[in-house]
Amino acid sequence: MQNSISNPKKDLAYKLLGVLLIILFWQLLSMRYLSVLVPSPAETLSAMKQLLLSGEITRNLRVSFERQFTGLLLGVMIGTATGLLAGLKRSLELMNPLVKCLMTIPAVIFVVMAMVWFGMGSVMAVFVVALLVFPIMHINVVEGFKSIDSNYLQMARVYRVPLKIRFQKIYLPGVMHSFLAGISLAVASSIRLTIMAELLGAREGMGQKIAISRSYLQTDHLFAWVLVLIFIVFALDWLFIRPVNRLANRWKVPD
Amino acid sequence: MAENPADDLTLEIKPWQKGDQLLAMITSNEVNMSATPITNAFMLYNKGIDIQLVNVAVWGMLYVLSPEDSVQSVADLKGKQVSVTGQGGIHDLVFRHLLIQNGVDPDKDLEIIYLDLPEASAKLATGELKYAVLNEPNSSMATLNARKGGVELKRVLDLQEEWQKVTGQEKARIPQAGFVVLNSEQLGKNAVAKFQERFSAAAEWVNNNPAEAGPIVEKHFEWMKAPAVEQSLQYARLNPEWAADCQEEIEAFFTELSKTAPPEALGGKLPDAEFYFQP
Repeated sequence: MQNSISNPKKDLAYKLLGVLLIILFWQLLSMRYLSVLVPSPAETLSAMKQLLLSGEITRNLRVSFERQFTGLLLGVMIGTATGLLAGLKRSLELMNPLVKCLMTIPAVIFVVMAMVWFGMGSVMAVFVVALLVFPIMHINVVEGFKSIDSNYLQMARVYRVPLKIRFQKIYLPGVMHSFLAGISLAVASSIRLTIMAELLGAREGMGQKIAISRSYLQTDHLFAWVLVLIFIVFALDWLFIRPVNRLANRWKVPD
Repeated sequence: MAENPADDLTLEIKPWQKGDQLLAMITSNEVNMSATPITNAFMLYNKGIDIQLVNVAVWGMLYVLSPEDSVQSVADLKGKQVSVTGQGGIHDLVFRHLLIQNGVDPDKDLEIIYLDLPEASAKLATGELKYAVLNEPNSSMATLNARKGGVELKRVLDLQEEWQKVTGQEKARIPQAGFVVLNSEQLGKNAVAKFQERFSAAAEWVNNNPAEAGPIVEKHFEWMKAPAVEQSLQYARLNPEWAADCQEEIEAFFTELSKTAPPEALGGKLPDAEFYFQP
């Protein structure tokens, strides 16, 4: 979030310094411990190069991305739909307990259960991602409705503003902001959920590669995969979440 | 299982379930010795950890279990669904090797699914799963579980016998698991020798008195039920031998296995002679 006293250049400098500190700390740890425990940054990069050249990264990224995207899409659609309904008609708070349950139960339990229900592979991963993205979207959309100034609604009622206009001028701007906040949260969690689901119950995909690197004690590969994951999350943040947030600001109601 | 022989060889047993739990115990110096699959010992050694293989305790205790009689050879598994425990582990590597050497493509000609023991055992008992590769004592536990539901499981293939057929060596054995010692200099040769002596004697007693051994095992590891242990001992090939005495046999086995196994499953290469503890 931007605020009036932030200085973009200084912010960037501090962020870069933060990255350097992480790398330095990592380097120091790797010098202290065996590489099977903490591989050095250089070893990790060379493992990453090897994985890139062999095509493993591209191949598994595609598999994981398909699962993540499908699950995300389903979860966002369902969560937004139920959120809209619940927002428009407060009686639909009846979804609330379900949503709270889903948010409270540790995600790994759903993974373990989904493996029993759907077996290993894509269906299971997509199910888990969709199931846990759904409450995020639901809650955010409902919150959006709650944040709408009740004066606007009262005014709309008094002047009998048609539903279409009410939707365009009051509901949409009110909800859009937290809807988009929900999306960015959902995107980030969907990546983590996909990896977790694959780690335990898939035969391919990034999560499974991480599991195999772990069981073969190839810690350098494991670190390389994690690095890839970090790059993806940052790239998504720059390419998708930030533009979406800028777009969201256009929906802000002028005070 | 991990053991901690102190002065007069009092042992403290610490169970581990997954490879990284064992790694954690080893790197934090929590244990002096540990039971482990041989492949795992290879990996740890090749990754620069100070361990040596003391003995091979069990040989070839892998079986294909099924309620049906139709499978009599590895090739008969074509078109079937078979569950295996632990992707990339020694069960998986041996089973895939045998399939390939019998002209069966493990990725195309049959369906391998990876299930852990409770799942495989439950699915065998309900008939949802017809074939599973299990080791001892898991195969015995599965057999007894299935019997409760009226399903009679049989060991239709003994993977060590299949290994002998494939290699043409009728005495070939699968060195499956054994004990490693960590930082052997610190523990000292005497303690290790004492351990091996006591362990061999115990193994002999257990092999001769399976009915008495069952309840003792169950007391320490409650998930291993006494009747399963008793049955298991007939099939476990518990026969501890000094690793240094069977270096050639171990190397021959893994050289054969690495024809099909990915090198990283063994930690990159076969370990050198230092790996074998010299009594």
